[in-house]
Parts: sequence; structure tokens; C-alpha cells
Amino acid sequence: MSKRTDGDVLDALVELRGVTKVFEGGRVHALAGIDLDIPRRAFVAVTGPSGSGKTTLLNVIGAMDLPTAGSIRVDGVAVDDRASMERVRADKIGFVFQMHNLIPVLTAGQNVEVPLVPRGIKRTARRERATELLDLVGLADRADSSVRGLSGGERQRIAIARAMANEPPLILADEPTGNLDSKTGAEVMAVLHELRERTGATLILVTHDESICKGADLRVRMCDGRLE
Amino acid sequence: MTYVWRNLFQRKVRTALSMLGVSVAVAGIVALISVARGMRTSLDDYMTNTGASLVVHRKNVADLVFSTVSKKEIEELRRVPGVQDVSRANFSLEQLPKTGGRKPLLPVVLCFGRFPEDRIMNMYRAGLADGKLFQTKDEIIVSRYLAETLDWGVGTTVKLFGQTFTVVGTYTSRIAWENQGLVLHGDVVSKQLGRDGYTVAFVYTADKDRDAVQKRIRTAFPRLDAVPPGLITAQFEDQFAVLDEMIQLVTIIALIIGVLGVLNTMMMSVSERTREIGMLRAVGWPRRLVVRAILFEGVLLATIGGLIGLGLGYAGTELLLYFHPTSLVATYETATFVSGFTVGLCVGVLAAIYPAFRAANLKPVEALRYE
Ligand SMILES: Nc1ncnc2c1ncn2[C@@H]1O[C@H](COP(=O)(O)OP(=O)(O)OP(=O)(O)O)[C@@H](O)[C@H]1O
Ligand SMILES: [Mg+2]
Repeated sequence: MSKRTDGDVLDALVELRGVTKVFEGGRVHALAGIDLDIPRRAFVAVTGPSGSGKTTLLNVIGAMDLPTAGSIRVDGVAVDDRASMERVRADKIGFVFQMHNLIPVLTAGQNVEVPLVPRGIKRTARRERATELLDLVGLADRADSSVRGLSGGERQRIAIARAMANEPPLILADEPTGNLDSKTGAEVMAVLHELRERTGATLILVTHDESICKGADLRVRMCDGRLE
Repeated sequence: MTYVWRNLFQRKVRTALSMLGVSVAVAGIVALISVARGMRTSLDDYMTNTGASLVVHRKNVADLVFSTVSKKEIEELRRVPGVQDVSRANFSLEQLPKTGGRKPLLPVVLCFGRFPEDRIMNMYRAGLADGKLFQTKDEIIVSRYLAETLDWGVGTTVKLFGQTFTVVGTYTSRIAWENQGLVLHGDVVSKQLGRDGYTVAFVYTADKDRDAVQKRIRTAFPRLDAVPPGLITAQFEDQFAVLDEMIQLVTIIALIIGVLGVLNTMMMSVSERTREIGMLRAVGWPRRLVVRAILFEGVLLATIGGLIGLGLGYAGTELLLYFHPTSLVATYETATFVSGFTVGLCVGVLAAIYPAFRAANLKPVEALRYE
């Protein structure tokens, strides 16, 4: 838990201070000095036009990329080198991508187990945890099916189960419904919210779809690398 | 590591092809070394088969072919206490006379010069298949292999180095060298070679006297050496060095071919899985785990390929022997299979190192954007 002395949010899970990210030697300012605190247990919706820096923001929060300038803390851990990035990704973050990015050669259950592998958890314990998570996303009966045969919505639910495997305090979802029709998208969002509430995780959701921003505790709109 | 296993298993054709690469490399090495070992042991076998206690040859010659033991030395050897018999042996390699028959494996014929009264003839007596042993300088006995391929049955007349001989017998032998040859009077070979002495002398003693006789010969004949027949190749190690170098060369070539094949597969498999690797990093896999997974994939590929290669190598060698039953021999040694398998493993590891580090150095953000 981080102690803050200067702000109004007492218990922020994520703190960004003057975060800047430039690409191509400074010609592209994807993030232009972002200050942002994200509270625990919150549902944060990030919107904005294409190219406004939403994915870049998630990448720096998710310790996938380092900012060009500024500082980031996730759950009290400063993300500033490769070691801290690997640690934060493994312990603090669950990713849900627009593309499910499941491993096609593995079963649904094995895909959910993937984040548990580097933690040295025993196979049987991994299986148990995967079955439990698949049950939560309503796919308990698919644990041993190949992911190739599954529908888009089912795959995305498996990706959600995978994101939750390490019980991270922060879930980052980049247009998780972008490839789904609105009905399936709504189902997937329902599963995501249910899991979030159950685990008390914070969800940062990037989307173009206004309808799925409903109920957000915090709305962030981005434009040209800045918060509006 | 189900992940690795499934990855290999799902891309069957590609996996099979690169496994085949490893297999062929390993099989080639196994077959080559087994045959080379076979040649080496068969020389030892040949010597042992004579039943002699000691082989006496000129000291310091690089190849047994250049050894000479003079007539005078033979007489002196006969007088060494404990010696029961001294059998003279010389040897020449001759071009094969043109005949109507089929061609044997080698275009040359090995001519073993022996003397009818020497004890070494017992060896041929035991292996006689047809006819009788030669008694005169214009009689020869030939291996059944030559007799069959060249139509040299008993009673045939044969022209060799401008002389005419009558085939009086055929013999069989389990020694490859002898099956490629014929046996005739030692004086004829001496004359043909223009040498007065003999190549080597086979000394027969009672078993218990052997070591003592060896010592006596070594002290009495400073220019000769005497060794038990089973140790003859060890004595002429240099002669086999060329063969060993050839094996090394082939091994290196096999290694390179194998590495290139597997490297290609592994690079393809890494580039196809770029997004997957980005995802693995995103969900918290550290670099070393990604490296390990890919190395493991290479090693698994090579292990299976290597095991198949050992089988193929054995089968291939047997097939060769089947087609050349009398002129080729193979000796299977555990060490041969171990080195074949090691080469396979090296192929797997070497070929996986570069792709593994390529994969580990992918930036996760970029890997996930990869289309
Ligand atoms: N690796 C990169 N190299 C160069 N430019 C980049 C890179 N990543 C992002 N950008 C640029 O940074 C800006 C922000 O990109 P980002 O992907 O964050 O936008 P976005 O808001 O997620 O857009 P979209 O809604 O289309 O996903 C864009 O102009 C983009 O071209
Ligand atoms: Mg984006």
C-alpha cells in the first residue's frame, strides 16, 4: 500500500507521474505527460480516438514498456527496470487482449495454467486452479477441449480466466470485446465484472464502445497523448 | 512441458522433416564408425584366426605392408627356445585380371603368400569349402566369394601376373579380408614383389611360453618386434589415424547439416509464434523460461531424431552387410552409438540456441503487435 502526502487519493493502486512516451526518436508523442492515480477496486474506462495513446498507456501501466520520462508505481512497486517489469507483470497484472492470444496447441485448461508455470506451482495444483477459474467463467466442461474448436466469446472468457490465474490486483483489458458482436461482448463483460467483484481487482478497460463504459468509477478520455 | 511437446506434435510434417535431418546425420555416423571399427577389428580377427601366438614384424614401419622379415631371421626365429613353428607370410595386392564373370566389390585381389608345410595352413584346411589345399607353385586356392563372382571354380586356370595357375580349392572365412583374396605359394609372391624375405612371421608356441618367447625375440632381434595377434592394430595405430580423421570430418559435416536443418525449423517456429511469445512474457514468463522452452524443444527434437538415427544407422549398416556379406564387416560398439547420439543432441542444442535467444529478446510490446 502506498502512502501519499500530496494528493486526494489515499490508497492508489497505480500512480503515474509525468509519464511521457515518445516513439521514432521523438516524432510521435504517444503519451505527453500523464498524471493519474487509479484507486483500488475501481472500474476505470479509458476511451479516446484511434491513435490517442490508449494502448501505450496500458502498456506502461502493465509494465510491458518503460516510459520515456516520468515514474510509475503499481501496488507500491516502482516499474523502472527489466527486473521490476518482469516481477510486476508476473505478480500484479492480468492482461486481456483484443485478440485472445491463446496457445492453439494447448487445451483450455492448459491455457489458463500458463501464468502459473513460472511460479513453480505443481501440476496438480495448477490443474485445480485452472478448473476453478474455468468454472467461474462458465466453461468448466471445456477444460480438456482444444481451444481451436471454441467460439470467440468462449475464447475471450478463457483469456479472462488466464488473466485471473495469479490473482493479480490489476486487470488490463484492451478492447476485449473489439472482435465480438454486441451480445457476446456483453456476456464477456458480465463475466469480467463478476470476476472483478469477486476478487476485488481493479479493472482498466480500453474501449470504443460507450455502452460498456456504464458503471465505471472513473472515466478517462484520451486525446493526442493527454487526458481530457 | 506439455507446451513444447504439443508444439512439436502439432506441426507434424515440419517436425518430421527436421527429425529426419538429425536421424540421417546420426545414422551416417553410426554406420561409418561401425564399418570402420569392423575393418579394424577384422584385421585383429584375421591375425587371431591364424592361431599364432605372436606376430613378428619389422620394427618402426608405418604400415605392416612395408614390414620384411628376412629368410635368415626366420631361421633364427625357429631356433628361439619355446618356438614350435614359424609360419612365413607375405602379401601382395594385385589388379584383377579381366574375366567374363561379375565384378567383385573391390577391383583388386589380395594375394596371400603361404607355404604348404607351415602350420598356418591349418587355418585354410579348416575353412576349405571345396577341393584341396595347394601344394605346388602353380596351384592356388581362392575364396568362395571370388570363386563365385569370377567363375573361378576348382579346376579353372587363372592368369595372374603373367603366370598361369590352377584353382585347386576354395575356402570360406569369417574374415572380410580373406574373402577378397586368394592364397598361393609364398615364393611366388616373393618373386612378384622382388623381395627376398617375408612380410611377417607367425610364431607358434605353447600358451604358457608365449610371454617368455616374446621377451626372447625382443631381446635377440633388436630390429624386429613380436606382439600377440589381437594387438596388431594397436601396434599400427597411425595407419588408422587417417580413417579416424575421415570419421571426424564426416561427423563435422553431419553436425553442420543437422544444425542447419533444425535451425531452419526452429527459426520458423519462433517467428510463427511471435505473438504467442509476447503473450507469454505479458503473463509473467521471464526470459529464461522462454529460452528454456525453446531449447527444450530443440533437444526433444534432436533426442527423438537421434534415437531414430541410431536405429537407422544399425539398419543401414546391416543392409550394407547384406549386400556385401563377405567383403564388409561391422563392429557395433556402445561408444559408437553414444557418439552418434551425442552428435544428435549437440545438433539440437546448437540449433536451438540462436532461436531461443531471438525469442527471448523479442520486445513483448512489439511481439504482441506482430501480425
Ligand atoms: N512501437 C511504436 N512505434 C512507433 N509508433 C508507435 C508505436 N506504438 C504506438 N505508436 C504510435 O503512438 C500513438 C499512440 O498509439 P496507441 O496504439 O497507443 O493508440 P490507441 O489509442 O491504442 O489507438 P487504437 O484505438 O487505434 O488502438 C500512435 O500514433 C501510434 O502510431
Ligand atoms: Mg490500441
